[in-house]
Amino acid sequence: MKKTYWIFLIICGTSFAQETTLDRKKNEFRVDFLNLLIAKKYSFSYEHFLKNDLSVGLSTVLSANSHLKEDFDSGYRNNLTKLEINPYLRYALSKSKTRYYFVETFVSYNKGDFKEVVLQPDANGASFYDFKITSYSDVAVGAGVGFKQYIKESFAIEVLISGGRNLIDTKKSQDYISRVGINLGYRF
Amino acid sequence: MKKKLFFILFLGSIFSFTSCDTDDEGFFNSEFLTIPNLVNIPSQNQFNVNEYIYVTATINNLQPIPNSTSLLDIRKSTGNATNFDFTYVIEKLDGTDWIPVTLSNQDVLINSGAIFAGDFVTAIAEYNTNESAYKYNVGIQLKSSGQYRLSFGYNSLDAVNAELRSNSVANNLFLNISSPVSNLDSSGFFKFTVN
Repeated sequence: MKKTYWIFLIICGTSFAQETTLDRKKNEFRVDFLNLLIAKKYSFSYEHFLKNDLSVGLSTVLSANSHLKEDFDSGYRNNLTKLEINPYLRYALSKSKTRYYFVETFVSYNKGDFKEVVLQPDANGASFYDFKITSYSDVAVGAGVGFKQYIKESFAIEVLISGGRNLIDTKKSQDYISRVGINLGYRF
Repeated sequence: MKKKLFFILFLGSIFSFTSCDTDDEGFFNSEFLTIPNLVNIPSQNQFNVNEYIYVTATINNLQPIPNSTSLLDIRKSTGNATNFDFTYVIEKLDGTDWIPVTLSNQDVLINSGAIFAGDFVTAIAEYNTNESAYKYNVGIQLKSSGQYRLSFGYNSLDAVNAELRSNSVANNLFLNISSPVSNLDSSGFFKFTVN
């Protein structure tokens, strides 16, 4: 019985120590490896932890996906997102600081290229159809859910599924955007 | 338990929220036009056995288009597409059923263009630099007597128009021309008799 009591005390103590350590670490930097490996998107995120299970952050996504570029060139899509800047606000649903579900709401500034077919005059007085590529930029709002777990009080693994809707230039931009990823991060 | 349920519901709503896009038309390197009478069929509806029924197409390189005073340069628009394709089918009445006439190379007489023949015909109008036009002129031999009908709706929902598509290569524009054909009835058939 005594042994059990001591084990219980040690576990509680360790757990309490982890939570206070994490409480002292207010900042986190993450890289999205799912998007990096599968979609060739470079996604970096910074998160700052506030009081009351709230946190704010900013993620930046740069796309270098050759498949999407090929689809854009060959006509299977008419827009190509190149940059996303996503500020977000998160709320932790679980009581544990080391392993928890969270919900988030975000705003996304996204920009890229849009392709359309236009009728152009030529030098001989005739006209011809040609592709015209222009830039677009849009702002989306959205929400999502995720799960985060810390290892050794510093290393974070995060799964995020999030989606939003563009609001301004949807004739050119994607109607909907998604933020789905598996992030590895470091909290400090 | 409530939290998990909330989590699952939230997840589902996000998936349904992001699963479709109004930009999902499928293919964007294409343009659609309507230009009448590019494809022609005979005006006569009586033939003799072993006569040929000719389907012809002439698509001049410069075409008038709606809302433009200038002519459209098709070759330049399509990255010098070598040909335009369209399909049609010839059927013979067997009792109360219309049965597609299966064609072989021996059944066709090619004056210009090319053809893939089987249960239906893929007609290939090839570009003729001397005439600055895509040309197709192919006769199909009618080997037995009976009631026949010809239509352009085999690979299309549009029965009364021939649908021509440029055979564009690389990432060039595909030009789709819907061309109303004279002598078709309201259902899109040209009916004829072989005696």
